[in-house]
Amino acid sequence: MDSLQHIFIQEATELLSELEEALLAFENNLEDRDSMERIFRAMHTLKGASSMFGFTDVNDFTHELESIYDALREGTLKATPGILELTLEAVDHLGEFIKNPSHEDESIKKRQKTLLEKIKAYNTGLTPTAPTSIKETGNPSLATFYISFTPGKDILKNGSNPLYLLEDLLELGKGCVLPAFPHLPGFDTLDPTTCYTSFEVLLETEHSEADIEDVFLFVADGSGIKIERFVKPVTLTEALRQKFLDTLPSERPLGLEKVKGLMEVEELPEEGQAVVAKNSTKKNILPENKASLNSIRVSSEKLDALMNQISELVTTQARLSMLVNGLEVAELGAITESMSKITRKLRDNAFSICLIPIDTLVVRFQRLVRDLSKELGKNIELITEGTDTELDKSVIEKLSDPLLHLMRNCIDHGIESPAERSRSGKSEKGTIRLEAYNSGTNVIITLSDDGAGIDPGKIRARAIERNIIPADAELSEQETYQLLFEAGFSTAETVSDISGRGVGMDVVKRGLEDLHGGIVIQSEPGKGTKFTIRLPLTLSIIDGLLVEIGENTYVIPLHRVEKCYEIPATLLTSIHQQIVLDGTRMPVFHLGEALQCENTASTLNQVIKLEYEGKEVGVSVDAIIGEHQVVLKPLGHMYKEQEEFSGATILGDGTVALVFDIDRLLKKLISESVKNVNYGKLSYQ
Amino acid sequence: MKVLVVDDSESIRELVGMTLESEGYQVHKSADGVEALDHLTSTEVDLVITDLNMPNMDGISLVREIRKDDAKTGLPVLLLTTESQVAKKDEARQAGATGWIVKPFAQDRLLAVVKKILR
Repeated sequence: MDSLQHIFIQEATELLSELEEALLAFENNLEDRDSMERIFRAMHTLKGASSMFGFTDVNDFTHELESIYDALREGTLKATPGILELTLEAVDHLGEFIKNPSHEDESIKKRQKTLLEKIKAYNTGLTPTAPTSIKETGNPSLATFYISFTPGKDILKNGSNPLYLLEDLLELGKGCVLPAFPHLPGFDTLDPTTCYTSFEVLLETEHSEADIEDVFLFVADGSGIKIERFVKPVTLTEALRQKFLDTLPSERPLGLEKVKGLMEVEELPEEGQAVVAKNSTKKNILPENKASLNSIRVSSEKLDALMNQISELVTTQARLSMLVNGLEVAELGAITESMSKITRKLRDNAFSICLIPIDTLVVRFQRLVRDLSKELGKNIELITEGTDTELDKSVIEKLSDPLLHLMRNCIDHGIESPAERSRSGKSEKGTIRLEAYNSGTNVIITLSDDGAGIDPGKIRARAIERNIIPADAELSEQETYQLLFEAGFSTAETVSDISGRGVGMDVVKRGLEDLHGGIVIQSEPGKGTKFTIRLPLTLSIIDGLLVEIGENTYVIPLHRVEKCYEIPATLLTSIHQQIVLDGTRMPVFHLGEALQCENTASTLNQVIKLEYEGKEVGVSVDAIIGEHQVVLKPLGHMYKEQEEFSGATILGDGTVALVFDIDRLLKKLISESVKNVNYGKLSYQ
Repeated sequence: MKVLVVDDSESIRELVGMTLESEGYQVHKSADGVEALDHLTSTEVDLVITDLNMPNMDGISLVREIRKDDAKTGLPVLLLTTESQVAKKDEARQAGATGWIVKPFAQDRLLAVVKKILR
């Protein structure tokens, strides 16, 4: 049951996010029937599921909400921003509620009550919808029914047995059955597969009329069923039962009037209690959503296991290829080659399974922009582009918080108030753009606003004030902006509720670094700010550049490599280790030294140009071996302090190579060189 | 005995599935009417339990489709739904639904009904 509860919570969370998305779409266009149907359906499904899993509060809640949207759908109520506001609030509340179902929190309880009252207020004045099943079963009072059941002639042929139905009926309460067979033919014409008997049932039960109807839903159309309820319940005493049973078969069927006579009660059935088929006016909804048909849901653990096995396969395949190359058996070579092709395809396919579009994040952002801009009295539009760009599932999950934080910053600090904007000649409406696109094995996400921009002077002043840099530091513009990501840095003049939640931009950067990604800021005071985030497509299998340092082999992630050069060692100046490559001056770090390797080559250096925080940095190695498909394996506990490595991989010949985490490696190297050399003099741009 | 459970809510599908499996029924699952029909073309089942409100094809339409198919004569179809309106029930009855169970349902009640139909 626990795992089911888990499935329910997961499903409910998905439904709420679907609800939110549909609500936001509906808010943009109150005439949009599709969104309305989506809202209604999500609510309905949530209601049904929550009632089954004991979330009765959620059930009550969604029931009331559903009534509102039913009325909207039928046109008896008009959609207003107020209703949407309230629904969104309710969706948020439900989200918290489901996460914390014990709801011992008094404030949640209180909010539940006020929200429910508000929602109910919309519902009063509407025609009441059908009673919920809860109300139906919650009525414990006894009632007496007269039920006349004339089975269709063919009922036995269809495989049903009327006696079972009568059994079902009597299970509902106390009663007696009076059979009648007024149309019984003579023995010679009797057809044993035809039902000639009809029944009258007197039933005293706590169940509702609907429950009685339920019993007869097994019966095909040809049968006649009449259910009458006595206004005042009549206790079926033993004497009364006997009185009925004593009636002669020829007197039967008795009919309602006669039954009443026998009961000596003068009662008329309540109006409307008889079963009358009403013509349904509701149309069945069949939205044209075929896309969902072709997908299945698989638990992420299964996917992880698949990825893991494919990683193993890739490694094994590499070993096989290597072995076969040495053997020079033509046929085996051909087979291995085609196998390696298939393995590669398999790997790519398995990858794409784990990729999900950034879209899934966008809903949250849209909501954030909407809520925050309202709260701050700003007018902001979020424009998204390329949100169908896909990223690994695990990357998306971890990307959410950093992006949300940046978004908050854009809304809070970036975009100015409408008054301020019109003063500086901008349109009152601020724009935030979120764009995503693929670039090689990277995905680039840019988040830009057309707000006030960031003044580098202010950053510098603050950094000096906070002792992050010395007062005489010479920093390039990009370096200045990178200071924003230093721990303990905040430019907000007052810590506001929105962006100042004790989390700084340093958390954003750290979050992205965990994903092996990077961030660069571009800003122009008065024009706006642009954050460019670079992320690897996936975390588990990467293309790497195999290099040799000392006696060991290392891997540099290929997506960070810009260019490789061969340089005589004499060209590398010994003090600042600066070099000019293709007209750009950049610092070069000798990895052999950094790793304290012995026997490093000295006459000729291979310099690899890397990109780091928007700048170019070189690292020198002894030899470049070539490209290699790297299956990243985590390093063990012993190595957890070794930040400059993101993992290890097994090479074709079975040896282990460490994989560099370029950002952390360069960060460390740069900060070490800063310690050695005066910060102000080191300029790596 | 094979039962096809049709519901767009995964948790309900699982719940019904588990309930039935605990009594030894073989359970197949579909997320909507279209999927269910697709499933029925390849697999023979003894009972269909379906939700009413679903995307793509709702429960009543599913019943109608099943009843149109001569090969599936006598296949019982139970509706499992939060809806309890008489009009809806009647529509379902006319479409040829075998029975109706209102959500929330007790697991033993569901089993009792299924047992009755499949005896």
